[in-house]
Amino acid sequence: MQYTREIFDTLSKGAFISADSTSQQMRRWYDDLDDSFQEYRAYYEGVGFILESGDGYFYFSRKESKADLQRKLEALLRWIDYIDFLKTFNSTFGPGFEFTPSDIVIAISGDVELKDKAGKLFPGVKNFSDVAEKLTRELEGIGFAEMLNELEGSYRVTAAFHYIEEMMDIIAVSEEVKDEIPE
Amino acid sequence: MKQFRSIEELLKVLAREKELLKEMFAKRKSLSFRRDLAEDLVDGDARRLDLLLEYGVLRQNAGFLELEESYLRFFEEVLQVNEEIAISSVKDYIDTLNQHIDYWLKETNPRRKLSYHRAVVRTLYNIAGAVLRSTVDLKRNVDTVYKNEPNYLIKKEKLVHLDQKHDIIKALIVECERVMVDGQKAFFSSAMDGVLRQAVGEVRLSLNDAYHSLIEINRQILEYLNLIEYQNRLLQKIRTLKYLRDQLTITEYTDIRRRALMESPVWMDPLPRYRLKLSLDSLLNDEDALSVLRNVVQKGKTGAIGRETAGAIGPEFLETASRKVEMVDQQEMYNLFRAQGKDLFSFVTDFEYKVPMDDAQKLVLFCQLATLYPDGIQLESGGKEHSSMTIHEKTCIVEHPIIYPQ
Repeated sequence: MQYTREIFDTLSKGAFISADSTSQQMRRWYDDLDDSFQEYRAYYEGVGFILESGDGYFYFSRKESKADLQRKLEALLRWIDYIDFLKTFNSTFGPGFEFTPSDIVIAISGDVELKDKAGKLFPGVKNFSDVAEKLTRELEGIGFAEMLNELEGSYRVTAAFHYIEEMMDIIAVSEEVKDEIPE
Repeated sequence: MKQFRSIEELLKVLAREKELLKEMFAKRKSLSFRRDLAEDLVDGDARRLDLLLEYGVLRQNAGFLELEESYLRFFEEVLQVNEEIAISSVKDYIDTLNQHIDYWLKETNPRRKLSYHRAVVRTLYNIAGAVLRSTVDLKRNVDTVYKNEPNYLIKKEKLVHLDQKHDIIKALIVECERVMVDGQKAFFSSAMDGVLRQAVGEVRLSLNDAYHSLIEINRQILEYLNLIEYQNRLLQKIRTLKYLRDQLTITEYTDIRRRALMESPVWMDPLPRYRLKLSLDSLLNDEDALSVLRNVVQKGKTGAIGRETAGAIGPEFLETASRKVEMVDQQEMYNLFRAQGKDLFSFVTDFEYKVPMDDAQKLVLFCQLATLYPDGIQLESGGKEHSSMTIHEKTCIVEHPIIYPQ
């Protein structure tokens, strides 16, 4: 338990800590969390946070959420839009995937479906490079992607992306509409 | 087509054209190696290229050159970069093994019998080598396909195909074991000598290693196939969710509401803002606090602190209003005083003012004129008077000097 303050600063802002982070410091935090998971969990429970672990990532949750149902629903729906867009951009978009915002812009300009989705992604943002930048910032802010090379402006998707994929996976769809949905 | 007459000749030709062959091997996947480019690599000598074509080392296809299949496969297999796994060769080895054993059993001439014996040993080593090489190829190809193939459908197909190859290699190992243990019992019991015993031991060890590796490879293939299956399912799920979201029926047909109620991750919370009061001690004593204070002051100057800015000025304050205050002009009084002959006190008290002036005000005006213009007046030496005045409703005697204009 060497990094209680640094880890708290990151996780309490709603970010994730990934095992495959580009930052050596974050990898060190991950290893320490991995080694002393129970100790850390008990420690943060005292201040109202529950340390949760997934496939190569850690995050905080609470016993009682500060966000109301509406807000949580909006957050989930927003991410459905993002993930749908990213998977349309590249079906292999997931942990370990490398991209630059300009890759996204190029893909948008050459794909009608993506163009349509990009236009609806952020209300009021119509410029495609702004959409790509904003989406990258969203991914980076929460810790789902990290800058790989500042010079090339490239990013890599972290293991924390598994979290949102798993979240999508556990949402159950009613049997009665499964057949109605087009492939 | 010409044939190389000896290994020496083959190696000589290959060595002479090594630059060209190296380049063509590196570009074997692009399938577009132009003839003029090739000519540059053989020092511009077209005859040397023709020679390679005649010997069947190269193949020409409408201005483009390719390495002949047999040479390509040879280079790939020796350098272990082949994508095709040559399972059939392993099967051939086993057939050859069985044939040599049969010949040995039927041969009566001891010298020839010995040569078949040697052939069996050599084939056994070849089998072990081929099985091991195929296993290594398979492992490498499984990884390459999973990591580099961008198309999900093709990736899945390729992995299934590699899984079939795995089954074949496994069957061949079992077959080879069977030949050594049961199939050719007569040969292995009667022909067993030191050399054969060592060969059988080593080959069985190698096959055992390969078998274990295959178990691991099989597990890896299944894991990759499951991952692909999971990714496909996930992709489908995301499309479904997006479709329902666009139809505004997602809360109706999914359990997203229940899921949102169950989950309380911090990333869904509003961004926390921790308001901390600064310690007065640190503000007074800390060097860093001083720079923080300076920043705050600087922000204050530029109007960054919104809370301290006053509101808009009301229109009533912007209207011009006037108030009339009637006063005695001291300069004018002084001028009038200089233009007459009376002393200052009498002048001030007897003057007919336009505004009402009481005695106290007149006394103040007298003092003001006497002090404001000291150069324009003249005090009569020793002269003083006493006059009666009503100040604040009280009658009193005022002693004052006698002053005339200069």
